[in-house]
Amino acid sequence: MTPQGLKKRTWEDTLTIALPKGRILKEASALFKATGMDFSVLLHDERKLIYEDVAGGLRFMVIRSQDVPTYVEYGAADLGIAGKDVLMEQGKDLYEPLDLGIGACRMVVAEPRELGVRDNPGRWTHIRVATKYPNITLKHFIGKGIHVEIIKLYGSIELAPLLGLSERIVDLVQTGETLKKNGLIEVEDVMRITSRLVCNRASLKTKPKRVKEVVEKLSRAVVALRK
Amino acid sequence: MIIQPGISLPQGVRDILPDEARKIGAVESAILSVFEAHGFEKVITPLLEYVDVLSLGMGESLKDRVLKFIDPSTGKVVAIRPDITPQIARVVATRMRDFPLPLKLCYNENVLRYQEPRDGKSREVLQIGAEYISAKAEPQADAEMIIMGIEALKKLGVKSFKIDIGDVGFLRAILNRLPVTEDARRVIKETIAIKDASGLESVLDAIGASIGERDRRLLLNLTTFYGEDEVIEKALSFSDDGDARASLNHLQRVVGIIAEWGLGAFVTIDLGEFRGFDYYTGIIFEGFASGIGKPILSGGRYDTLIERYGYGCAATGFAFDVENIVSALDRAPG
Repeated sequence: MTPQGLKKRTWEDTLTIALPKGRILKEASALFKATGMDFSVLLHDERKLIYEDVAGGLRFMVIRSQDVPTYVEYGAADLGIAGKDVLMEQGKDLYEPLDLGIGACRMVVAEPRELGVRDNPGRWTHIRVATKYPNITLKHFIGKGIHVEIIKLYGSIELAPLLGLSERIVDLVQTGETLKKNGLIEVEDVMRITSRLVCNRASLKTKPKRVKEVVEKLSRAVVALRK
Repeated sequence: MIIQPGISLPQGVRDILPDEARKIGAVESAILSVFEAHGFEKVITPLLEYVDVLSLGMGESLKDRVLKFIDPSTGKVVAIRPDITPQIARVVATRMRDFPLPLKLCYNENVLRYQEPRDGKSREVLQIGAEYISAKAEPQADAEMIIMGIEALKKLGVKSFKIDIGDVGFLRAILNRLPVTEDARRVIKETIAIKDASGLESVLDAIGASIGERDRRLLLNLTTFYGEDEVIEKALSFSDDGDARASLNHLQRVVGIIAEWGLGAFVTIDLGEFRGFDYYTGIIFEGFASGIGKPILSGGRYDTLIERYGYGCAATGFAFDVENIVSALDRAPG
């Protein structure tokens, strides 16, 4: 389990924290730095994927954002940072003790502008939707009694309506700029999304003091950031 | 080795070869010897049950995960047991009513539960468990269960494990008196179960003033009421409800007895824990070991289950997950 070169410590005094590669990493780094937990070296060197703060008893590792819940569920990491979108989609059994407030965006249903102007989501009965989030999409429409045919894609979702793959998409929007550029408009909100601190069940039970300490420190930093 | 195509196993079950079987055997006999030292006697229950009968003891969480089929000889629907405890409840209520209480029973069986196949989780689980059936709910019985768990894990050499204790009776007492819809209650429960304090806050904000300030503070605190036994004191200071206080007092007595046995260091408390079977009515507990993300034992008090089979008595029990213990022993550092 332990990669070569890492000093072996007793399991009790080290917390392993899984961080998502990409845009969230920078925001998370600022938040952690404010609490004295500093992993900013991982920002400066992209090839460096693990950083150990021996004095602080913390080990940080950078992995793909979709993999964070899996690492934490199996206990390979004690804590992690994951978007609510990823958590909802994967439905793993994890604790989510803190909303970090970073990486804020929305998940929406969007469709081409010319379709949108005369469309009424309240009248939908059968639709075809392209998305990276088949589980969330299915749950959303089933809850409304709408039959949905889902086309699972891995990226560039906004192209699907342009090329006639599906009429509608379910995807994340931050500013709405990407949708606009591709001639799409939002027609329905699915959910609001932020990044969460997640925790393995066994870690919270076997290291309650250390986990609580990290949650409380970060919680104060989140409040301070909001002001 | 050449393997003939088409010779394979259904998803979620596996063979256990001699090396691992030996380890499992050693774990089983160590646990059974602890049960025996505490005066527990083994019973053997059947693999199949009528779904109707089993259903009396299965909550919604388990019903969808049972392998069922139609018995060709009678046309009735039978199931492979997903849990031993309802079987023990049936045995006690139908066959052992004239045995003097308390009854101390144990078992060593396989159960079958449907899991999400994508995770490659096993469906067949080896369980060794004990059930303590008495006329009334006694803290001594709960404490003895947890003490046996600790003794067995120590004997096996499982490193750095904790037994985490909660109480669904306490949580239900708090939730049931909230003047909210069933839907809102479910959402509150779900956010507490994942310790999502900010989610709970926005749910409570949306519900508004019908939840009083004191209840609101107690609910929000439930997401952080985990750790050492001082959280029970904290919870007592927030709770006015009679049932909630009675649950906390019972819990405090259990923890006290475990401490008297010199085993207090193995115990943690989590008052926000909801997981486990629907039939639990009071104390619930789970064992966790370092490096193993899943519980290695779990159990709780179920004072209404045996009554559903026609015999009113109280009971508490737990079971070890044998395969998780073997992996904890294999992976333990140092």
